[in-house]
Amino acid sequence: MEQLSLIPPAVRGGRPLHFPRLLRERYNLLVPRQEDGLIVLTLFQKVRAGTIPRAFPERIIVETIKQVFAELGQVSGRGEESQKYDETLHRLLRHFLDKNIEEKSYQLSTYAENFCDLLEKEVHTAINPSQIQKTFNDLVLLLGHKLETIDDFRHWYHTQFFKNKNDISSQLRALHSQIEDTIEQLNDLVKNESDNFRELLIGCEALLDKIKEQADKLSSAFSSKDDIKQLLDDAALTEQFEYREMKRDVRNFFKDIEQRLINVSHTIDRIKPKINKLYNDFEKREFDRKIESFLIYLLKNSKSKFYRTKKLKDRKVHELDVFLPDNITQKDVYSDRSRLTMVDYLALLEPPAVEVRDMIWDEADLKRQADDRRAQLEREKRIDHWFKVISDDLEKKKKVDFGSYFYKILHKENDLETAIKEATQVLKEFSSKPGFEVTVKEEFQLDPKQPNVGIWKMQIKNTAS
Amino acid sequence: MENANKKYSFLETDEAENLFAELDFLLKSGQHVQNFPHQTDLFNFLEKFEDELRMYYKNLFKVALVTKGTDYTRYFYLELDDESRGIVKTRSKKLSPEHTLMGILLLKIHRIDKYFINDIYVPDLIQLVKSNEEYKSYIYNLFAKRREKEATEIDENTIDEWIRNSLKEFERLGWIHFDHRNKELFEIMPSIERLFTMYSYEIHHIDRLIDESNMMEERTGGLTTIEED
Repeated sequence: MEQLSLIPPAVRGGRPLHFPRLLRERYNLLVPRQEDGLIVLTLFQKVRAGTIPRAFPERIIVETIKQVFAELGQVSGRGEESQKYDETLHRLLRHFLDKNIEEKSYQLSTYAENFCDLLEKEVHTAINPSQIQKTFNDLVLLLGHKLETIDDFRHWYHTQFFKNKNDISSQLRALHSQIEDTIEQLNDLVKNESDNFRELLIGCEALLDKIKEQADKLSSAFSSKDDIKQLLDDAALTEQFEYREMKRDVRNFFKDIEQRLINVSHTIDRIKPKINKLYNDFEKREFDRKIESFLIYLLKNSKSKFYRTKKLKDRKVHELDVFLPDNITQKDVYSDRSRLTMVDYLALLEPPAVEVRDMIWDEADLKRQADDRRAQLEREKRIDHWFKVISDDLEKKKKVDFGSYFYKILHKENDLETAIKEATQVLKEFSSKPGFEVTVKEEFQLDPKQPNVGIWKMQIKNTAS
Repeated sequence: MENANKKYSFLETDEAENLFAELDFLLKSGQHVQNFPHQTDLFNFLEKFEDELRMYYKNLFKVALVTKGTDYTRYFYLELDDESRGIVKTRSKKLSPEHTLMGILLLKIHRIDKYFINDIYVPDLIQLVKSNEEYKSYIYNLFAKRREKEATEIDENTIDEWIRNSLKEFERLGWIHFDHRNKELFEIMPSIERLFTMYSYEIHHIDRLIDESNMMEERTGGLTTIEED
């Protein structure tokens, strides 16, 4: 990087350095120590803000000294303060403060004001591409008139170029420090989990965009550098060594500026993907947080309804239904039930236990059951037999009183069930059979041999013939 | 191209003879197919004839063959789109609340907590679900109506059963895959992401849902419509 130099390039390089004696002796007074510099800067800022007048009493200086010492954590022992304040005041009076003896007041020296101005510029230069554009235009315009003689050019070099070179460099430094600040902010952001992470990240990104935009603007403002190069190349002074040296200096400076602007763009291009990654990480974290919230929300707000206990192969479970919260719908999955037999595979995998029964039975009961069944079959045969007798009788007589058959069956079979079932069958068959008619009178037909049994008078007529 | 004018030329290939019946059966039963060893052949077949198969299902069955994910995480499945939903209503089924809960829980454990990198051993999963301070109380409340400390054997069995049944359903859907040598060991498949896409709206708006439900609770005093025994 090109440094500001008071010594022309022609006399630079490898030779012993000769600083003026005065500069060497007063260096420590011209370049203040940290606390002195900060005191001057604070006074400068107070004057500019209007909180103190341009000419201020000693009291204000002492207050400012105390303030700066306190901020820097420099605590003096009792009794030492006044001495320390006096010493400081005397040091500052050498170059930074002017004392008005008549009014008993002080004010900042021009050197102090320039010093503060320089400090602020170095730290907080407002990036001002349009100003740079004007500076360049002036440089080019003046250079056009200063290339006739080496004296003219030397004048341009030492006044215009050197003066503006500093402004231009400070613009670049300002850009660079803005990037560094942004990187620092990003690092803090990554290290400290902040609640408003996303907002801060957006802030950093916007800052970088702005820096990039300013770098682009500065690049276009620097476009006149090509004109300067051209003018220097076309000049008739190239034969002269001093000219060539100065020309090389000017060209190197612009080359350096160009390179630094490219670096700014590159740095931003390198940071951008990292910011995107931070965004992605953040989005992922945010999405994960939402999934967790969703899960807890589901578990907390779902309801269940219990039924009885269900027995599985080797264990029991509750039979229950679960219901999602009202505002969460169940989702569909494709399932072509028209083609597939949907077997409840859960039941298939967990069939209820097969109960193993003891194979012990009651022999006597089995015999009784068999006898009952035989008696039943026999009864059915007899019912069929009597039905046939009655049907045949009907063919012959055209009219039959069922009552007399009823008692006949009861007498012959000695089984009330056979007689009753016969009555049911006769009633059922002949009441629906075409050509027959069944009439029932609500009068009892009785039989003295069967005193406990009675039957309505029932007559079946054969109407077909 | 030999079969340029044929819409479904894949049907006449040798591969189709070997694979299509199985693929068709799996897709129609709701399974998701992805590029994992147990499904590689089916997946390759799907990728090879992707366009034709998409037309085939669209034209003949009025159903969309959908693909999601990229490269290694790519998967295929059938889905009723808005157009077909009205026509073939019967060809879908709801993912049950029990399975939905387990699915989201499994994903949270796998994706966020990263307890299990690859294979998950079912008893470990059950143990984890039952011991997690964050949600175990909700689970015991939902499946046992009791606090964990008071849980009976039946309660514990019910939770085990819920987890195991859900896993079986997920296997049927192709969202997880059980090791054929050890039926207690399974791996989560990329297609389980489908559950996220299903509920992406709810997940993205969860803060609002919670606020709304808190407001509702204030209004109703926490009364719900489902009766509890």
